[in-house]
Amino acid sequence: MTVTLYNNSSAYNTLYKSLTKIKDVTANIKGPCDVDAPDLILDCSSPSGFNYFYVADWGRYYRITSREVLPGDRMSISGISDPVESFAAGIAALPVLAARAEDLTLRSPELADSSIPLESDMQLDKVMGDTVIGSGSGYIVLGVV
Amino acid sequence: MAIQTETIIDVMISGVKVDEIGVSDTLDNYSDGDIADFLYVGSNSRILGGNIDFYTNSAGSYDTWNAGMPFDTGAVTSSIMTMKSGNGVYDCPAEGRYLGIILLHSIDDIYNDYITVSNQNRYVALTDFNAKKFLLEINAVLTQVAGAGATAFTDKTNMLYNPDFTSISVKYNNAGTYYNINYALVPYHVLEYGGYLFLIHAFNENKTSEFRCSFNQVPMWNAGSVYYPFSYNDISKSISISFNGYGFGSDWSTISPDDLAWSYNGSSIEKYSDSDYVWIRTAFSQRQFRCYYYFKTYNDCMMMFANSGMYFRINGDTVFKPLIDSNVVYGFTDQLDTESDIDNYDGSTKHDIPVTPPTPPTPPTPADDDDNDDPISAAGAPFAAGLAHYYAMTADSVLLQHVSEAMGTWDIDTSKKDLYRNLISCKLVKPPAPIPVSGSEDFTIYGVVPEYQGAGVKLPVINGNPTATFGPYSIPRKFNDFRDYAPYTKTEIYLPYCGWCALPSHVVGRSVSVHYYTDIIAATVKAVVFCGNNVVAEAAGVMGLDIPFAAENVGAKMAAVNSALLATAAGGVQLAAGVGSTVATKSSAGLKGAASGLSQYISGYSQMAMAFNENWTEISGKNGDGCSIAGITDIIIKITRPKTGGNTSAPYVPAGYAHNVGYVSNKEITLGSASGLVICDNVDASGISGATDAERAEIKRVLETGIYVNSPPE
Repeated sequence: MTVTLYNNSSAYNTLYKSLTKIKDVTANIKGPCDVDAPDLILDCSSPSGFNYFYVADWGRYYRITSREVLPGDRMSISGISDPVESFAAGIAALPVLAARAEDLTLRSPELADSSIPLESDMQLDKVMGDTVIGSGSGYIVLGVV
Repeated sequence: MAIQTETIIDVMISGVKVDEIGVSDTLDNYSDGDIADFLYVGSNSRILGGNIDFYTNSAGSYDTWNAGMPFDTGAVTSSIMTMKSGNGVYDCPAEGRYLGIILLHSIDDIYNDYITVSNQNRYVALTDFNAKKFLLEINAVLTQVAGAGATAFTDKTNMLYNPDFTSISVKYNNAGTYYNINYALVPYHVLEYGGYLFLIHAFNENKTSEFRCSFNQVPMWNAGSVYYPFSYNDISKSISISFNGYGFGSDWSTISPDDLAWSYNGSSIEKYSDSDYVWIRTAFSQRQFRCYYYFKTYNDCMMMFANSGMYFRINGDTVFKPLIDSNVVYGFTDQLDTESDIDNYDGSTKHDIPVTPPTPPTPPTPADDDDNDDPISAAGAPFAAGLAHYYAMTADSVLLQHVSEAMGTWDIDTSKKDLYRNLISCKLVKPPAPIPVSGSEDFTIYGVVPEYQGAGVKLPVINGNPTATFGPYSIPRKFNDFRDYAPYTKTEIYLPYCGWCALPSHVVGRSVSVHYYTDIIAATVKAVVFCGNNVVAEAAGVMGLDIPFAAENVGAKMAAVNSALLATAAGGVQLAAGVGSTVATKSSAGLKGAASGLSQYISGYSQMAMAFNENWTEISGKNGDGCSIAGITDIIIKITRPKTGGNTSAPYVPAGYAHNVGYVSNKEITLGSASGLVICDNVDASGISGATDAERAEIKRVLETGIYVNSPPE
């Protein structure tokens, strides 16, 4: 089967990772194989330049966990499935309740956010109003029956 | 549904909210705060909005009105006004004036509307009445440059005669098209609940560059007298006017162009001024009725407005005049020479424009079926003297000395004189406004004129309790988020006479005003803080001291007490004035400068106490509260906000906060529509096809701990 080798520069928890394709190579499974964590023999002599691969027959992306150079211009690699990238289209279409978001348009600023750091110290703003009690001498009010 | 002329005028004048008088079948389509707008637009423009139509007399024949008002391009009828449900769009083929309603929505609402509605026949103005982050108003006219429908709009704004308005870009659709909206910030309390903002752009287009009117009609339940601020520029060039009328009822078939023209200068706008205010009076005249409005500037940038009512004509040529007394419309008459307060606003009679502070409008009984605050109002008590006569003299007046001497020299039996002295109460008061007096009368006791050098003493008669209004004072937001409210931000107001008072959270971002009501007889004062029509705080205080009226040397005592109070006011000393007590307490650090005055005060007070030891009694009740008339003299609003750890510019969060922590959202989205970090709540990943349970569980875990969303590869 054919395996596509990539260089992945994105974190695992990234939807639509930044992948740079290196090349397509022929691969064979090493023995009884777990699809979520396969061991493959690649017809490839150089171990450098890639850290990620895609198995078209299985429809899944994998992160490389180990590499071993073999005689005869071959390599043995082990990988672990990346379901976030493998099912990116389905994830992107998911309706979700965003608890937090980086996008300002998704912010609900009037909802309390306990993660924003606030000092216990306070600042004081003052709005000065009008003088209510004037400097005049006032009145003497006399009440008589 | 056509509304008859009488009904509309009744609405206008009675101030009854429209949806309370039987037309709710149509008007219920509105949200609170709908806006009616007379728009002047250029050719090939489009007005968005809906809900109320106004019709002209004939199709296109009237030169200052376009046939068929917005949202209805059908045959023009003679109907004066129809209500329509739903919202519409009206293409304005020709330059001219249009009428319509524009709904007010929040930025979020309009954004959502526009990304989900393909045809842009929705709203164009923005606001909200919960006064959160929402901006306002007013009219937006989008230029249609080619084609039809949503995609025809560009970001070009075509708002005429609107130099004051600011422009804002609002996202138009998901593709990222933007358009501009002209808007103006309007104080929250201008609109209030059930408010309608009418905008009228000058009918006489030759004058539009000089005179522009925005008619603000809120709240409808108090049409008799409404004071609301509105923007004010140069009186000679541009003015925005608020008023509380609703709609226009008339027989359009008889209208001539002159009837619709606004008078805008010369004798039609009269300007009065004194040291505090500038008053402007103008008349909106149509053949069927005239409206007179008053405008008052203050604080250089705000205006107050009072609607004096209107004349109107129904049943042929009969002209009716509203009968107004103290800003209350109590009837109508066709006898035009009948006395009515409306005549006070008629330039042909007199110009006795009142200068008393505005009285807070009386709120309606609200239907408690929404999330809005129910307005709570307050009013002062009337002056009730009962059997007694009350006189006001300035503290340095010699009149009291004369009264004292008259009592002292009165040649009657001592026991009778003592009895008479018991019938006199005497107070030193410092009210927040002058005590209203009317004329003077002889000093008498129990109907008897004491002898005083052979003549009586004339005393000025009190005929009311003084009231005063201060503000409005704007309480600004800082963070524009939850931190502007409790428990993070605390707002307090210092009310002279009364002390510090906490204000509720929702005043932040709004304005408050303070109304003082007084009771001269009790020498008490109540300060009521309004936010719009709502009472948000109140406090009581004392504005005077009971002074014993002794036979001898009373004038010297008055002088000593008054002098002490003046001196201590400067020093910030609060004096305890419980009757029978001689305690003076220090409430601030400014005591030193007042030491001299305080000494005099104590001296005077000791004399008072001595006088009380003579077992004098008082007519009215005694003061039991602390007397704060010598405390802080100014209103102060104190806003205590949290510090933000050195993050001193908006949005006042640490650098990288959005990317690494994310803002609180709580919005339902399609994940792919977001960008950057999203932390989801309780993800349901069952809809992901082809994934194993383990993979779905892992996807759920990642989304709930935070995922960074990039754009999909091309």
